[in-house]
Amino acid sequence: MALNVESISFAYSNKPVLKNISVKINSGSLCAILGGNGSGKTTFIKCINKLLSPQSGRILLNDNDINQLSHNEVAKLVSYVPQEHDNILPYPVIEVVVMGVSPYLSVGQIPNAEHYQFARDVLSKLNARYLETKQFNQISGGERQIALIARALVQKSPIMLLDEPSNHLDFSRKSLLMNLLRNICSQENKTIVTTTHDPNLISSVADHVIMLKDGEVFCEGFTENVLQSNNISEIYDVDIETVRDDCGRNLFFAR
Amino acid sequence: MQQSQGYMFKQHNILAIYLLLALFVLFFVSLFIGRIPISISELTSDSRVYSIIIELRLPRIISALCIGVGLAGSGAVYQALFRNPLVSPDILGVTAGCSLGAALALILGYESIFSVQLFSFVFGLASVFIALYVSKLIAPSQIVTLVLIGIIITATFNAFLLCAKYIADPYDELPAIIFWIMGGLYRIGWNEAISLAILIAIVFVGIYKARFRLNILSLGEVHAKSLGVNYTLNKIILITITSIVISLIISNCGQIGWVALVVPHLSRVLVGPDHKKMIPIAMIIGAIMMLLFDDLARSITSAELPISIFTSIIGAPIFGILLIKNRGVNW
Repeated sequence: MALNVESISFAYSNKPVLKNISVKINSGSLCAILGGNGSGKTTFIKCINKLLSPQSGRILLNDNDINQLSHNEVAKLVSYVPQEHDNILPYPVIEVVVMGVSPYLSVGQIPNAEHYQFARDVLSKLNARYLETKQFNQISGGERQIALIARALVQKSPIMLLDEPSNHLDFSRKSLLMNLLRNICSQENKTIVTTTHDPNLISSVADHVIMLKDGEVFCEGFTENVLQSNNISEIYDVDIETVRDDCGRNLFFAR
Repeated sequence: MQQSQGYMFKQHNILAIYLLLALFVLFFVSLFIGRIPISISELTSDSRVYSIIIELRLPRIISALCIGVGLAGSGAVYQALFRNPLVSPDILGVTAGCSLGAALALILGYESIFSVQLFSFVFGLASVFIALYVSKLIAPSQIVTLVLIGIIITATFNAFLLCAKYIADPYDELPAIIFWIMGGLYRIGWNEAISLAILIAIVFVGIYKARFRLNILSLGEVHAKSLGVNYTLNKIILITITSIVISLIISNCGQIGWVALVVPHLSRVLVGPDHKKMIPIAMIIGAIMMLLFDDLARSITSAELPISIFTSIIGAPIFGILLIKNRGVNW
């Protein structure tokens, strides 16, 4: 499913955060949103998910204006893996994952055996079946992230949004997570949009990069065209040194 | 893993069956407990005994069951919505509102039970609606704002209650206010029992059906909305229906502390925090506890004691034991 953002602006009580942003994200692509702290990445993601309503502009999922859709209809099209997941009660992981079926249930319905089996299958696919009976608040940050990605997959939405998913992860898990997202994008034909601070993390997996600076699109396009040291230097206000690794991939370091 | 799931499933259902059996036995035993001891053989032989059981004890026992279900269910809903284990339904000022309403009715000379209950019910609901309305004006999605406004309303209504007590006639009105606030099921007749039973049956079905949605709402607004749940609307509906129940309970029985706070905790210790399992267990335990407390209140001395004495004396230590045993693991 393609995502079309047309001239959206958003302000928190007169403080503009997003300024006239327009981007188009193709169906089945992995798009990374890059920018410094306060550049508007999380706000942008929340607008796409209808968690926030832009003061102007519109967001189209294929040709459907998100404003015309209910939260339930949006949840069938867009799943979201939020940054904050520290306050979840000690539910077993399987209970958190199976919540992904919520958009398909009416008020009085509870998940049935098929839903639970599907949630287990998704956990197995992510090599995380061992988490099933563990309490959500007693697993590591990385495992929580995997559980929430599993929940997003159970939601069966064609678009998946992730807000800085690598935040709580160690060095190796960051790279594993990005490869996992790449696989999900390719195998499930999902459109994935993820925010990140780290250009090196997405350089080999993202199809499309959007760089935000001060609430505006600084540049966007194919990864190889956008992920250049001068662009990175501009959005982070720091000198960048580029090193080419053995695979011919550019790695960026702040001087 | 499959076996473990099956085992957990069976364990939860077996517990519910045991608790229902205990409730049934207690229900039966309660019919024969009271200031006038009654044996089963007297039931058919003495028409006076029959009348005590049918006219006095049965409506009271049915009401105790309903009140237990209502308090425990409402407590579980509030704790999930506010994502705070220390929350009970009086956080938005419903108890303070009900108490003030009853005190005003007694001072203004509306001494019939119906008038006191009506004033109490209206003031209790008013406090919650003021809290919801003001929080909507300030920050609709901020649950902390709602809690803070609830604290302000509680403090204000309690101050008015103090004024009411101060100006009340110390020989007549003041004891009536204090005794009313201390709580008890002695005012309950068939009319009150039927209205409680009907309303709480409706709410029971509502809360029971919302038990999976409560899991989602307990994750907070961001998670709930992204899972397709209208957080604000669901929150307002659940707060409104539980507040109606609490207002009705307090307007009939006065303040009954601790049950709404302790029972959800106890249920979480027994079956975990998943509301699909926890809500039905909490409702059954709530019914058992209230029935037990009422039995004690009406039979431990020759004069009836206020029920809140027992809910506090027994509820507070149970809460303490749960906190020590649990060490916050289930929340």
